[in-house]
Amino acid sequence: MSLPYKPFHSPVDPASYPKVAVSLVTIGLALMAWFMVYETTTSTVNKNIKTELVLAILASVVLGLGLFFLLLWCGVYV
Amino acid sequence: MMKYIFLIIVCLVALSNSSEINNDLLIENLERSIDASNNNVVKQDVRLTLVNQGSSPAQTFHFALPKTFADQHLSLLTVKQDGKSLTTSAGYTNSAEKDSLFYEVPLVTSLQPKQKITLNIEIALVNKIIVAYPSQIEQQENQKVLYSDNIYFYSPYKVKSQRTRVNVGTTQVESYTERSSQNVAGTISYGPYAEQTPFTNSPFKIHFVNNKPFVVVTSVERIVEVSHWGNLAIEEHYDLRHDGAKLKGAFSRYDYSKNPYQTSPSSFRELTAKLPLQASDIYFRDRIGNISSSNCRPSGKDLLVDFLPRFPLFGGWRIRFYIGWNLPIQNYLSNTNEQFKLKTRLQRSVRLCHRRRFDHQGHLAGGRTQRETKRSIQSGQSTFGGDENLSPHHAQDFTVTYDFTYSSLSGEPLMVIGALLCFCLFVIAYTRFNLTIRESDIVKTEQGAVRVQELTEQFVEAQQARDSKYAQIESSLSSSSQEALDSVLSAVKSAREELDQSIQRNILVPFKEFAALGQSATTRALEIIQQVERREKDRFEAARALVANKKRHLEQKTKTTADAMAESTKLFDQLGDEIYLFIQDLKEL
Repeated sequence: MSLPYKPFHSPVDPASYPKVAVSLVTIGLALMAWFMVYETTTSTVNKNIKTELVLAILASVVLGLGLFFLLLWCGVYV
Repeated sequence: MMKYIFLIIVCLVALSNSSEINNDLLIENLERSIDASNNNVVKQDVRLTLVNQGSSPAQTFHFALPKTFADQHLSLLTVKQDGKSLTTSAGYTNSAEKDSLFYEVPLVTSLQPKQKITLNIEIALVNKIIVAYPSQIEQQENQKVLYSDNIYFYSPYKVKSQRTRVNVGTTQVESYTERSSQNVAGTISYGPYAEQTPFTNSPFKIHFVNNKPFVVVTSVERIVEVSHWGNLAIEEHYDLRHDGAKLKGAFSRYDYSKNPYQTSPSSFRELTAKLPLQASDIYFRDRIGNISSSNCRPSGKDLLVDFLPRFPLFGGWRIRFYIGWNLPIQNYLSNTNEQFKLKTRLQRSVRLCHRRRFDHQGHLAGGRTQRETKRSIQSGQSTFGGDENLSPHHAQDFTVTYDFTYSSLSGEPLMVIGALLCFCLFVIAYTRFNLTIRESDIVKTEQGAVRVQELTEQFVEAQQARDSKYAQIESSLSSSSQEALDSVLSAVKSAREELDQSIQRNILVPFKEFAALGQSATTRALEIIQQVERREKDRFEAARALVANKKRHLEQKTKTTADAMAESTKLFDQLGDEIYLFIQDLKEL
């Protein structure tokens, strides 16, 4: 045990979970809505798979992180 | 390898020494104070002065207890010299004294001949050291208990003078063994007794009223859950039993509700848990669910939680419940790179006693030492061995070291992201699925209508792009340079041709296919688009003529040229207006 142990802190300060969760969920829901609107209103012929994938990945990353922090904020520690 | 050999040698040396009791040692003076006011645990503080009467220095001190007594009751033993805790060995027997269990205590500094030292010994005794007597009482009776122990300090050495003071915490003492004894307000003193030979055992008994909770934790399970996102969740499952005098006859809820302290003195209800001050989200539940009748209050560095189980406990009754709380991680978890160390206090929070059969004598020696367990946590769960026969004095730090990679921190958010992404991919695929065996006409027409709508919108956009080109021509008319007029015209011409081609290919061709389906709206839209296209050609011709006339007018500047220019301007504007009206019609469709 050569290296000294230092107190471990969460990668994100637990005090900022509410802020992070609310902002990420808001942006994430907007992106997800955009994706869903694109999916349902554009006809198959006019769909661009690249746009769809970019939107899908962006929306799920942002909303996923948002939901994760929402869980932490609620006390569902994973 | 060398380390092990060394250890073996040390052990051998220790063994050869340990069996010998140094008869040169003498206990000159001994004060023993016993706290028997708590039913669950009896605490003895012994302060003795040790003298070396021999000629060689003494290295060790031996503490002894009758074997059966130690096996059943001893929970904790600490020996201190000048405030420093000394290590005590595990109990062992000696061939000379088969009925005694010895604990070897190496002294900090060896005791020189004719020198004295003072030692403080703390002993915690549990497991029916105090018994209810009578063993069955009715609801309204007081609980009487019987405490019995050796009237002398059980010693392998001669004791010159000793005194014992027993605090029973009540003035209601029924009877006690009288032998140069005195009872002053609940404190019974025995002694001083002079010149006791080693291993003297003579029991005394004290019978007194004690209604304090006679409670035993038959088992406690502590679950510590580490979240590297900043939380330490602790949950403790208790199994409690009232080990006092058993309830005889019926339990009257009516009597109990009048005044429990008077009508049911031997029962108890309220429990107190001592938690760290930063504890949050505290809950208290039993098998039915949450029990909300609890109360928190800070007290010094601790947070005390008083809670009432669903029913009071009488002798022989038992209850099961669990409490849990959260703690901020940074006070308990430390790390260096990817090696983590979790340090918590191994201590039950509910301040009661735990008494069970005694198994691990080794724990006596390790009573205050720090245990360190190293293992890589793979499944995320580890169970650590349990201890038995513990008293509340058995608090110690508990350290677990484990490896954890930082990248696994992102596992949980990735799971959520992955689930959402799967949903999105499903949506992408689902919108492309066509599960019909043959495309029905209705679906076709519906899809057609959507397509027509889209194509119309695209056409309107293209038309706007064309309009902007004409706006360029119109603004270029104000300039007097012929070259500028030509260049603008040629630029517009090529841009317009490109637009025309794309409209022809991307809009008109598919549009005609849909129009073939015979929808009236589609046919009408197509008609308008064709009208627009026709006028569009004329409009460009008009624009070209306008530019030509402008150039001529710039050269000649006569009335005829001016008139021609005005004429072509009029035609150009008129066509523009017509197109504008058609586009409006198209938008309304």
